[in-house]
Amino acid sequence: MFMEHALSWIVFTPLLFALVMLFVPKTKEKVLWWLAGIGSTIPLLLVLPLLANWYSTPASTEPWAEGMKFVERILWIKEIGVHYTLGVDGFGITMLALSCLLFPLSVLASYGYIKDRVKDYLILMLILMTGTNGVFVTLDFMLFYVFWEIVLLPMYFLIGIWGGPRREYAAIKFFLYTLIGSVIMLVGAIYLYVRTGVGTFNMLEMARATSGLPVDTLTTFAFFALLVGFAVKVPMFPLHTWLPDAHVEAPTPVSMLLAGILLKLGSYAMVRISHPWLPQVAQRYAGLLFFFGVVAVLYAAAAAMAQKDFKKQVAYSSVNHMGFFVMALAAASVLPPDLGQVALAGGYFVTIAHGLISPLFFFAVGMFYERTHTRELSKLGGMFLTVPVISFMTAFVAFANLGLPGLAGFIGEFITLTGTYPAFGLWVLVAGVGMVLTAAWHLLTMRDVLLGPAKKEYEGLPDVTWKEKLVFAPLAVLIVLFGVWPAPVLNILSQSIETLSQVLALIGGN
Amino acid sequence: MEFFLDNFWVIAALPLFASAFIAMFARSLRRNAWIVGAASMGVALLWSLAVLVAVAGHGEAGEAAANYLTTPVRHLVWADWAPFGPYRISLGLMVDNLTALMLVVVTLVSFAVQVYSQGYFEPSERRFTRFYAAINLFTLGMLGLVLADNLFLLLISWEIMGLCSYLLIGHWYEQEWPRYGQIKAFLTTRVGDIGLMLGIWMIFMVTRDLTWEGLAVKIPEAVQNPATAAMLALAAFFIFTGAIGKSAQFPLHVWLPDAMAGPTPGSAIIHAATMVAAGVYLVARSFMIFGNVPEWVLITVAFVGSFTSLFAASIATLRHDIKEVLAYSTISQLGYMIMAMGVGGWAAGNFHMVTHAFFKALLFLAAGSVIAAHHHNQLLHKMGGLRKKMPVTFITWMVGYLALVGFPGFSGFFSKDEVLLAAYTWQPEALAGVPWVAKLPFTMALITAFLTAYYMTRATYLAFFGEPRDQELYEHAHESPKVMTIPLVLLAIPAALSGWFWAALPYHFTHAEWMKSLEHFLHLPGLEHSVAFAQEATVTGMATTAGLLGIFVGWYLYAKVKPETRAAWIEAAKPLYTLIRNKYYVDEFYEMAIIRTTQAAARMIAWFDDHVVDGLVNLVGDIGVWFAEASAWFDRNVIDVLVVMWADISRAFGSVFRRLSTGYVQQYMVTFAAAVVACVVLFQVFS
Repeated sequence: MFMEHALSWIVFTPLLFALVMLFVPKTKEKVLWWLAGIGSTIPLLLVLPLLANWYSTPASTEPWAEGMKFVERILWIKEIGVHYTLGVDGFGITMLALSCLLFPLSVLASYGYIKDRVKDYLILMLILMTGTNGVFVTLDFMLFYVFWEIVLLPMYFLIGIWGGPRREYAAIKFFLYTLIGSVIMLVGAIYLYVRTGVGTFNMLEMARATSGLPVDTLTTFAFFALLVGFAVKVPMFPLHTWLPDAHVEAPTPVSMLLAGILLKLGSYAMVRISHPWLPQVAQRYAGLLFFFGVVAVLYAAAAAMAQKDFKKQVAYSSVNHMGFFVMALAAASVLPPDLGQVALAGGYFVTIAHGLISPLFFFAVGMFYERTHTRELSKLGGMFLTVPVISFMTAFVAFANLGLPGLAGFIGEFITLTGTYPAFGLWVLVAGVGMVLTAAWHLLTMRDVLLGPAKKEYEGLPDVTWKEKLVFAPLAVLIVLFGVWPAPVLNILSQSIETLSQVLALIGGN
Repeated sequence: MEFFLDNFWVIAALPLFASAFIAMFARSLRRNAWIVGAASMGVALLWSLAVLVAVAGHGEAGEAAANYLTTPVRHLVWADWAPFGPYRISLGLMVDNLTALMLVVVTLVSFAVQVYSQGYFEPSERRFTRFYAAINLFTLGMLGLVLADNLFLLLISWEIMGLCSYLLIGHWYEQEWPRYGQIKAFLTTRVGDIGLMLGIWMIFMVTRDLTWEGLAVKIPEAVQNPATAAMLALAAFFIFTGAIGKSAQFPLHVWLPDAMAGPTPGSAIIHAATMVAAGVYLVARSFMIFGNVPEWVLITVAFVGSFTSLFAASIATLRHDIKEVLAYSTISQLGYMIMAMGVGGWAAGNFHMVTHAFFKALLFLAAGSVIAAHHHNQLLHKMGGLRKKMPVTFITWMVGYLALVGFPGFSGFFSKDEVLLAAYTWQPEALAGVPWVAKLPFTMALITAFLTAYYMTRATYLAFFGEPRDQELYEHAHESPKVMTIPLVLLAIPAALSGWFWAALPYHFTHAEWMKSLEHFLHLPGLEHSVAFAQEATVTGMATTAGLLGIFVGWYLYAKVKPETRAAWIEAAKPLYTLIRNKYYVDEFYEMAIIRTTQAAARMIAWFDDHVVDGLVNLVGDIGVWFAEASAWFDRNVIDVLVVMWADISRAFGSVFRRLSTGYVQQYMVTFAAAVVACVVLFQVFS
């Protein structure tokens, strides 16, 4: 009974808890924190058995869920062929697990940090969790769209209410930018639905129909409509400027989620929707996509280098890392499947590694901000002598972020470029320059913030707390584990990657 | 012995364990961390010796399946490490002759350094455990590098060492210079690393394999196709850029002198003996690539190496800081090794790598002993006469000195000879038309031999001979404690004697087989090198003459010539002096051409992002707001006015027709009658 509806439970448990919390008076903060903690942890506990049983569970062979595991399906809107269909493959389960890990951690990180309107904050967090988890498990486009939009609203309020001084500007910018993106995406999807006359919004069945369409003006339009919707979320250069603003204004735990999981909605949607649906168009425009990816790597690294705000630097580094994913996807669209798999494995691994590293980096920035009340690089300094443990954590995550071998960040980037080189040749050197710049600004920032003589005004700052250690430990362990042993992740992904690379090489699509 | 060989992985596991243990229990260990480090490294050293003996017992490397491939004696593979698509990167460790030798070198130097450091650091040192954790992690990296059976694992070990180098240079990060030096070191080598990675990607694209075994089979096949061969040549060149960065070759040599900001024992192992030799090792290991691709790559390697050796040696002649002299000397000697690889002296380059590791680590530790005794003064011009105060340090330094200048009988003499011999007999086909170009590397290397002897004599004289130049510092100078001098002696033994395992010249007279054992031990299948005795004698003669001449000039200039006369001579050669004294302005050039430019570009991009890209977004937003306001105005002033107008019109009509409704029934009847009459009339007319 449980295993049959595991995904539904994972998606809706947080929402149930949010409903319960509505009836808890807002003065009972302790109860609210416990409820939110439990409500966000249960999905994590539920996703673990799914991972454990991953290889022993046979993949579905139904046309509406081919290759998916743990599927569920209920008819929802008969007239237009919408089903409540859930199921996950390698792409989905890894993201789902990442999301289920990050939400409890960010609730924990909020504890003691958020003091204002706690009830509203926690309820919004839980609704957000339902939204993101829903996106990663649904196989029906309409349901996908519903979850996709559910994500927007809580995020808007989380930034707009609990954010920094320019929170309203940042929140509105985030909301409008992503809303416009998703509306365009909806137009693209509906056009394809009408054009093919497939009569269902099931993603897999639609993919089978749409991947056979000719490359003409309208399919190209549909492809870019979908892609723009996702690219805003990723965010892909040049649609990225909402991100630094949103990050700088958002409170630390929200930043963790924003970087760790919200950006991954875009990358996930690309491998689930835009590319499998229209591989023929993706192949035609792979060069363009690659260009935007490689520019993002270099451009964001340079932009990060020039920032004076610590958090903004980290925000730009998200754009930089997601650029690797975009490059990989572009390469996989033009390569034969064997090399395409290399690129895809690397690119998707980058998103997972980034999902572990960047939340931790934002958390590290937050730890300094909580103590010094500044994020300006010029005002920080000598922290290794003031707060050694926090500084060690920051150095660790900075090295992870700059791609030090032995930590998770490196493997993905290395394999991505291994796979991208055969497709685009020496252009990957541009990304190489970006990697040097990335290393440069990390080292300079570490020098400015951590090293040097201790500063008078920061003497006697409290070092790390137990709460902070609890947030840090799981992510750090995973960063090291996947850095020295990436096989568990790559093995889970391998089947999905193989399928996608064949679709993208236009083999097996009909 | 076979037991130790079967479990050779323990050697790498020991420093990993020590590093983790020290890091975890740093607070309770404190100064005792050195015991953990030195003990585990001692075991690793003994284990490595056992492995070396066992490997030597297996005899010469047998005929390999392919050219330029040594056959491992033992090979461990963890295959399912990183599967991506149909390919796999496996984690494999292997031991062959070169590896077995390097294991001993690395563990010996590491052991000596870890014993020595306990005496080197002041009691007030705050980051003692950090140093030990980093040194052990570093040793793991270096052992991983020599044990790796594929390019990818080599790259990972390579980068781990880069991290440790960064940490150790910045050991005293309260000060400005270490902070500068550590970033410079990491970034400069990173530039080379990108090249190395690019090389790996290109190799992978062609061969779909990164193991030495696989490459040795697939590269010779791939080069049959000229286009692929050209690409592989480019790949080999990119791999070599990694070596340029790590082994501090021109033009990426700039980081090594600034790496001297770290504690001297750290410099001894990382920036003298082992890590910087990793670039040489990389070229040696991937010789199945270098040896098979078009020749221009190896020619480039030879010229980069020989030029660097001369270039760095010339700078070393005018350095004031004892560690800086040694740093440039290291760059110069690494140039020798790189050149040896380039001219096909594979075994000679590796031989020099081994002897150099011993005598340069020794020189650094002896310099550290001087520096510690001299209240952390590193300036040669404040030293002098120290031989009386520090006899053990002096004698061991002299051993290192004689080995480095190539004094007959010491290890450096034999290995340098082999390197020079390889350069002397080099006859690349591509340069067959211009034989003098082919002789250039040898010429540069020979001048280097002279300069090396000169600058080392100068440094030795300034530090240990003559009158004390700073009386107060001299008064306080004292011999270092045993914990520091014993490692010096330990290193002095191989620094003096290890060359005899490949003493080609004495072999001709004695015919004692062990005198050629290293040559056979380090034999690379497919690379045959037979040299006539006359050539050997010629080269040895030239090299020894150059060395002795350098010693003489150094001694004469500093012991005989008065300082005033020296100053006058310097004045006479002012432009040249200034050029060399300022290290040919390479740093200044980079500062201007690369660092400033990059920073300016970064600021420009940030401005662009903020004003143009984001400006467009805001503009769209503003247009939206403006459009909304325009719509509102239109709604108010046009639509609404139209609505109101209709109302007005209706009202106007209403006010006209209102007059008709008077309320008098008679009037309505009249109107009705008139209307009926009108209808009848109209009906009649139109029907």
